[in-house]
Amino acid sequence: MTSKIVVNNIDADAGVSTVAFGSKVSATEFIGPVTGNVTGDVSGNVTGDVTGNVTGNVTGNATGLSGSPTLTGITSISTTNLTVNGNSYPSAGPLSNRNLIINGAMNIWQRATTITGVADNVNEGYQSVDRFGFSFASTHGGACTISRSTEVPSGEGFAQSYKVDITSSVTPTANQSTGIFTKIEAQDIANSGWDYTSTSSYITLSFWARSTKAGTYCVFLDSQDAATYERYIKEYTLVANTWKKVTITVPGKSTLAYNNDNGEGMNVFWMLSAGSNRNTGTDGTWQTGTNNATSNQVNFFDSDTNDFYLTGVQLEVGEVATPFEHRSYADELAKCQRYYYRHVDGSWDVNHPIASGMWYATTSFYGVIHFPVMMCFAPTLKYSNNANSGAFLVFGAGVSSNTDDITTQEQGRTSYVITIYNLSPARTAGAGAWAQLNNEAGAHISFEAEL
Amino acid sequence: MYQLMFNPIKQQVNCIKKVEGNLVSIIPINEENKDYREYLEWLAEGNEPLPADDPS
Repeated sequence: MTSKIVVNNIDADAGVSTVAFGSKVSATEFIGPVTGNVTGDVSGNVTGDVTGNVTGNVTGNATGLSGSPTLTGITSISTTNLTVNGNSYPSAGPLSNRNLIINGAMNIWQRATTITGVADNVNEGYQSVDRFGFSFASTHGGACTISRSTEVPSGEGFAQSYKVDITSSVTPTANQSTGIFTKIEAQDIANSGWDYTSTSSYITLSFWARSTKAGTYCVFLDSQDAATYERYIKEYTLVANTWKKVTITVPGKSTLAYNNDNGEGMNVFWMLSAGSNRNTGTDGTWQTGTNNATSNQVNFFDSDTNDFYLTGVQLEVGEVATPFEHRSYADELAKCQRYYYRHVDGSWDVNHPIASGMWYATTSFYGVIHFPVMMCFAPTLKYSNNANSGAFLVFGAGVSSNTDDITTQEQGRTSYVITIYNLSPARTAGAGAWAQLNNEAGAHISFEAEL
Repeated sequence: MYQLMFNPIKQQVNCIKKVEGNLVSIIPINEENKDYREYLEWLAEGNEPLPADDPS
């Protein structure tokens, strides 16, 4: 039997503080404070204050947590997608020093800020921004200019981007391809916290890209130490002249390998063109073979009006892309100097000191150069006299001699003994001396240990 | 073009010189160094460096 009582008010009798209901009360809406404990599930919206304990599950959205609520007693938040004020928080890995990419904000340009005429075997590789290079593979035609640009995504805190400006267009064939790359030391992947042989462990790449040419682009990252070389190819799509933050989450795989050493571990490669033998890869999976793109990859080299921009590159352990880890100039420079150290540059000081030392023989000077950080391995000494004769000067006992020739006596990861030779006029061997640039703005001396 | 560089103290070749325009590279004999690995590939193609230069 059912019954229905229609009233508009139930009130306690005089001397009674509580109206008790013997069983469940069902209502479409409850208005007024709840001062006792709610021990059952609350499936509707709670619009008033909750001052008691909630012991059941809360599955709805807590949209009413405004003002200054205090949440106490929370001992664990378990989620792969925690966002606070629009910022994602890590699902794995460290809370600081998360970014495995060096110079991802494109702030360090020790070599040059503009390189023109970049083409196959001409100005390829590391020539401009630190830690990022440009590759032309298999006699790919065309040419481009690479430069530092102030074109950046608005409101993200970036000041500079890496710009590729096509100056000579071409259609790639067969094995030909081009792209921007950066390389990560194997030990930095091996010790990152990424369980790379597990399919349930992830690493996440994020970056900002912009292009005058709309379409689908590919980026890949790889495993250099795998028994059979493997790369993970992922497509992303750009709208013309629009910055886009691209996020790619990559799972581990049992066959991946990254040695705990200073060798090449992982390449990250932004493809800009790929010939027919390189563009039949599969989107979103680890794969062997020689493909570095999918068939959807655009030919960015199809017009000399094309410009591509890249900045905000971050690679981190976990399933989410956390906010970009902005680092100070000094911190970023020190990280870059493990791979390239600009010791002397005439644009800083036309008489920049090089080293102190001594006349080893009548026409040769020996001096020691100490690097600011330990380099990845014994570096290559690179220098230029800027095509001017006598760019390097050695002083001693009030007189000077000059030359254009430098070599090395000993090579280490933290220091070099350099030999400045063919000095003229000759001096007395054994005398103390120092070396410097000879009023030469275009000369430089550098050390390179790029992967 | 590559050229061997002689070390007057050790009395042996201790590095490789490479000249590209105005840029000179002095490459240590160390297989961790990618410039030296490229030199070895160049040698394997049948090329020969210039005779050693003695800076003493």
